[in-house]
Amino acid sequence: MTFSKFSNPWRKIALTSAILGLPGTAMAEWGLNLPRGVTPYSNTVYDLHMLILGVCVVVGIVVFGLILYSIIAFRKSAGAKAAQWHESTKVEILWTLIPFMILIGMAVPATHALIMMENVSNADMTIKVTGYQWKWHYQYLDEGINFFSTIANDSNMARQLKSGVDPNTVPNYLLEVDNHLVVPVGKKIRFLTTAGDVIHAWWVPALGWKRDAIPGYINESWAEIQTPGTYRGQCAELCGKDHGFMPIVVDALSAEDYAAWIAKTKAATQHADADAVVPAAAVAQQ
Amino acid sequence: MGNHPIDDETRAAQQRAATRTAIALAVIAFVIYAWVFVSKL
Amino acid sequence: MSEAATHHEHDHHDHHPSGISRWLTTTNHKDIGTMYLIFSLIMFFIGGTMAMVIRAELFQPGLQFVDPQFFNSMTTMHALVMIFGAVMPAWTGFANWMIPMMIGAPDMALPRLNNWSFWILPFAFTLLLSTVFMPGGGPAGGWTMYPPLVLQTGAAFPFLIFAVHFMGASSIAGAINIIATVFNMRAPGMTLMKLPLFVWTWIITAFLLIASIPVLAGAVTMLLTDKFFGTAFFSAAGGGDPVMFQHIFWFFGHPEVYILILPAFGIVSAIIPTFARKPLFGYASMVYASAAIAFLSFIVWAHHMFTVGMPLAGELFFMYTTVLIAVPTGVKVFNWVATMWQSSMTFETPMLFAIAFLVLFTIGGFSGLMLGVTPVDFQYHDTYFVVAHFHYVLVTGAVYALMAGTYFWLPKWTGHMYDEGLGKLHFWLSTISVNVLFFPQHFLGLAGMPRRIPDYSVQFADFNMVSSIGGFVFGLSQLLFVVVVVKCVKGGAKATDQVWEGAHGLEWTLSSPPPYHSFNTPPDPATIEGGMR
Repeated sequence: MTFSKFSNPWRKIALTSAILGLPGTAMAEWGLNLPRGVTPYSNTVYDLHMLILGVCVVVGIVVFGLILYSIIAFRKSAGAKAAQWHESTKVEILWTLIPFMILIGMAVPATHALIMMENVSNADMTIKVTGYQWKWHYQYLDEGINFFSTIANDSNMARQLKSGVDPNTVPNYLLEVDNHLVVPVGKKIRFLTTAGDVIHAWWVPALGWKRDAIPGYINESWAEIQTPGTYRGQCAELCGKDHGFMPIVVDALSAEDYAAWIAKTKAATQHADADAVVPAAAVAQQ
Repeated sequence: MGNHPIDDETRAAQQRAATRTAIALAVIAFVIYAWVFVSKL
Repeated sequence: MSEAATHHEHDHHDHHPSGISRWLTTTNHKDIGTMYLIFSLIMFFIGGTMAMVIRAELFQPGLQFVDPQFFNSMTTMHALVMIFGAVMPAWTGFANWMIPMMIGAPDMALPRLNNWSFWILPFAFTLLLSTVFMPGGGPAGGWTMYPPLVLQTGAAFPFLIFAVHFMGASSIAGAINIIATVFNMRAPGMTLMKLPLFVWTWIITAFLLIASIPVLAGAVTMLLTDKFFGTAFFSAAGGGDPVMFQHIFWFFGHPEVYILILPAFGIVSAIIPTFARKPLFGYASMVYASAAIAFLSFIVWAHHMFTVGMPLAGELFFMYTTVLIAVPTGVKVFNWVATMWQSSMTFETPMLFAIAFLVLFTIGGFSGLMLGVTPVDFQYHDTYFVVAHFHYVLVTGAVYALMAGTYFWLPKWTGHMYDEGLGKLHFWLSTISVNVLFFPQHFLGLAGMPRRIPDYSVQFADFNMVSSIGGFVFGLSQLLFVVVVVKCVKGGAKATDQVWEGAHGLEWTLSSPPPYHSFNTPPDPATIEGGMR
């Protein structure tokens, strides 16, 4: 039986997705494919991406196959004579309706995925992310911790024009910051994104999404990280000369390690406050 | 291959029709431009 | 042409100025078409040089050649020059040369407006390109000019805005001229449903221009007043909304990309039937599909803004309308393939470019479909996946159709056959290198490389190097195109009237080159009725 588009399209989609799915994750390691990521949403997105890619590959094989066949079989130099037919309402209806139905087949899982992404309710904690030219600011709304996160100094020195430093000698070149964003695994984290000057975008591919950070707006997104680890991302909206140099690093820790980090960070903040030149308490007494 | 040439009167009528079309489209373009602001004021 | 008819032509307009004066004051559609095409070729190389700067910097990680600000101005200007200086004027050049001949009219409806429409462009681009040499450099906020960032542009800012206004005015005037011409100046017997697809796609493009360019003009005027006249349309602090700019811009911006591609569909619809020696399959549905694409193009704009924080209902609406465009576009691709089916093909250079268009534009269409699915677009948006998509549809789409059309009609314009060997060499070098240049960019985007960055982390190095090599070869290959064109203008084997065995259409009933004034006497309706053989 020929792999033509008039036989069962669903079988072809499933087959192709299965074939592509096997090396799909391996391809991601070679930098060829979208990575699965570490959240339920990122995995949903990966599956949807593979489905649509599979549909496109199948349609492509069919259409390009027909073109290739035509080029070989219907050449004047091979003696082909041109037919003169140029209409067929039946065929036109078929190749309008079948793509339409394929699109509906894609729109259904896509709609479910989008509804999943936009459901920010019942979060366990909230972090406010503010984009600046050219660094990020993080504020843990439930913990009273906040700090800036700027590109690491070794990356920043190496990236200067004609610095003479080989980027391969810099660990996590352009993807390291001074203060990581530390979060717990297994908790639904609500992210509020905004900006203090121009539009930026906060993107960590392993989480599965990016969201614009816009002055005057507060956008909501969420992630629940399932695997402890370090996840790196970058600003994804042109924001001026150092748009390429304001990375993001997220450390996802186990619940105990996270609690320890919170305690340590709060203590360090209070210590810093106590050392401040004009303690807030002293000011209040005057 | 030649038909009889288009006479001056037909040509003038075509020209007038073309000019009317052009003016109508220019007005539409301008109205769209103006509406973009007015609706945002 | 018979002697009597030739005499008749000369009686009317024998004397036209020569030298610079001819070109400055001409109202002849062939002259104006030629000027648009030469202008567009020059701009193509200017934009191409900017692309070479970009690819040179991205050849390796680290910053070797330019600072980040200059890099951003290169990406910004490359896009502005290619879109508004190369592709759009090229389409207008083709329209000017071909539409009057295709409809049996002596010239465009408004010849003086036509001259003015052209001459605005060198002025506008002098304004724009001069900004590269100003303090602060050229605009560097992206061709999309989003505020607040674009308002940080220095001295270049008013020049950018005025250049955009002038380019827009030129496009609107050209569009008005084309509609007025096709609606009022067709020869007797040339009904709308006998028009070549190239004329149909240009009519539709012209309506898109008239509806969308004024919106762009409005948006950039609002940027101007926000910067200089105390308004706060887009400033959150002033009670305005930066996202509103994006809505207004993309309401123009999406129809704009169909403006860039629709005439290409028309060209491919002329070339494939010619070299297949078989009529275009499904003429009527090609017209309706083009109109459907144009209509849909007005209700998809927010797919350029999926990450901006739209309500769910908006995200769903724009996802559905966006993926829907695949249907009429697919119809067109299938119709071209059906034209090739059971045909009798030869593969001269125009046909090579047209077939490459068919395959590679479709690849661009696939990545476009993927981008239209909102939840996954949250990963693809603002990455090199988008860059790969639009370069496939614009370079191997629009630019390839422009090349195809040039090779197709050069013999008609000049009276000489171009050098087929050089043409084929240009084709193969271009096609191999353009895929080496852009295909790896899909992988870069999926692997996490954002766009508009001058430097990248080391896991992206290999594909960037490959892409840059493809870029350098592709850029150099285009010099071959210039050689072919110049050589053809200067001489070559004599071209017959019909030039190509399978060519049909009124332009192929004229001599090669056609008379300076053609169809002062309209063609015989019997010729039109008979399919213009």
